[in-house]
Amino acid sequence: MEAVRGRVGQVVEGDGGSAGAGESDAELWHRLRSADEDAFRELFLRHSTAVYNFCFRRTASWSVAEDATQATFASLWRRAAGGDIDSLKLESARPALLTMARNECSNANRSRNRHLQLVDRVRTETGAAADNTAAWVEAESTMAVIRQAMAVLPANQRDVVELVAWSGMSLADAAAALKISVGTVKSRLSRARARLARTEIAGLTERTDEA
Amino acid sequence: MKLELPPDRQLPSPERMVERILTESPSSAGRRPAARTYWMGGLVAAAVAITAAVIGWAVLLPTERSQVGAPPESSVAASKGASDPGTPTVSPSRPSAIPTSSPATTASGPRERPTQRPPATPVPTRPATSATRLQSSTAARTPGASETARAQRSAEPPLTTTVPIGVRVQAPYLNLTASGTMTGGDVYAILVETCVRTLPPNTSTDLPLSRTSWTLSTSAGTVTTDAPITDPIELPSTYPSQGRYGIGDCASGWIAFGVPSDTAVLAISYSNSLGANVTWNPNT
Repeated sequence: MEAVRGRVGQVVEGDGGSAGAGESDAELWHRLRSADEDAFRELFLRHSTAVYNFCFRRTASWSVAEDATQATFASLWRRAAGGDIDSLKLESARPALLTMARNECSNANRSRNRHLQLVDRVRTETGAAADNTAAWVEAESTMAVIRQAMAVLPANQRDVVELVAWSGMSLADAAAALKISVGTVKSRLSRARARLARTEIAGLTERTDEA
Repeated sequence: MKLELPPDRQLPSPERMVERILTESPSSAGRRPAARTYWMGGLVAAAVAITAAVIGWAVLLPTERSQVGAPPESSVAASKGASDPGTPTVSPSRPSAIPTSSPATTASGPRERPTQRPPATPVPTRPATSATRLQSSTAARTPGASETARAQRSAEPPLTTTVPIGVRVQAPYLNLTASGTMTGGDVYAILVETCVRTLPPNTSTDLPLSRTSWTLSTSAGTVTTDAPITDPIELPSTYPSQGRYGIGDCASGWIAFGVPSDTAVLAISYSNSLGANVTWNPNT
C-alpha cells in the first residue's frame, strides 16, 4: 500500500489495488453490512491509518493508538457479522470510523508500561522503522504536552478540534459524526480557538477551516 | 514556544492487522454460514407456520364464520333480507346485543349545534356500490368460481397499531380510516370509513361489518356504541349499524358515542376478530 501525504499533512492510503478499490465508501459499506470480508478489508486499508493517527492524537501513545485502531475495526467487523451496522449517512466512512475510534480510545486500557512496550516492539522491527524509534518517542512526548494544553478545553470543544483541525474533517462531516449541527461545530471551534489563542498550541486549531 | 502536531505515521503492518481481525474475530469465517443456516431455519419455520395457519383456516372457518365479525346465522339472514341499496343494514360483528340507543335511533332531532373538528377529508359513503357488489357477488357465486377464488386468497397477519387521526390503515382484509371528530352535549362523534380490501381465505360471502367494532378510550374508560346518549345531536351522515360488504365496498359515516363533556377522549379504536386492532390518536 502506497502512503502519500494529504493536503492537511495526514498520511493517507493510496489505492492498494484490492478488489474493492474502485468502489466508493458507500458501496463498500453497503457490502460490509452483509459481512463481506473484501469490503471490510478495503475499508480497513483506506481508513486504518487515519484512525491510527486520530487515536494517537487522543492518547499520545502509538501503542495505544494501534490497539485502539485494531479494537475499532474488530468492533466494526463484529457488528457487520451480527448485521448490526447502520447505513452510511455520508459519502465517506471516515467520520463514522473516527466516531467509533473515539469511543475505543476512551475505553482503551492504558498501562504505565505501554511506552516501554512500544519501544521494545519498535526495536524488534527492521530497517527504517527501527531507525525512527527516537522520532516516535519524541512524537509521543510532544503529543502528551499538547494533550495537557488541550485539557483546558471542555471535552466537546476538544472533540471538534481533533476532528476538524487535526483530522481534516469538514464541518459538515464533524457535525454528523458528533451528532450536532454545523453551527454548533463552528461555535465550539471558535470558542476553542479563543481559549487557546495565547497558549503554545494556538496554531494547532488552524490547520483546516472549511465550510 | 509554539508546538506542532507530530507528523502522521502509517499504521504498521495493516495487512497483518486486518487479517488478524478477520481471523481472530469470533464473527469471522464460520460465522456467516451459521447465520445462513439460522435464516434457512427461520424460513422453514415460517413456511410451516403459514401452512398450519392456512390449514387452521380451512378447518375452522366453515363453523366459525361469525368470528369474522359476523353475527349468528339467523341475524345474517335477517340483515341480508333487509338490505337496501340506499341504507345498508348491518349485523353486529361482536356477540353483543344490538344497541338500543344507537345514534341512528336516538338522533331524534338536533338539540344543540355541535362544535365540529373538521375532518381531514370528507369520506363519501358508497351504498349504491355496496348494493351492486352484493348483487354481483351473489350472482357470481357458482361453486367452481367460488372454490377457485377461495383457494387463491391467503390469510393476512394480524395488525396492532396506533396512528394519528386521519391516517388510513391497511388492516387484515380491510382499509380503515378515522378522519374526524365532532362534539356536542354528551356526544362525541367520529367520522370513520371501513373498506373491504379482500376476503379471508375460504370465505365465499361478503364480510359483515359492524358499528360496534368501533370504540372510544376515554379518561373514564372504554365507551362503546351501546352507551346511552341522553342528548343526541344531528349527524351529517351516519355509519351503518350493520351490513355485509364485498371487495371494494365501504361503510362510512359518523358514529356517535355517549361521552360526558368533561371526559377526555384519548383514543379511537377499531377491533375485530380478523386480527385488526387499530387505534387513532384524536389529539394529534
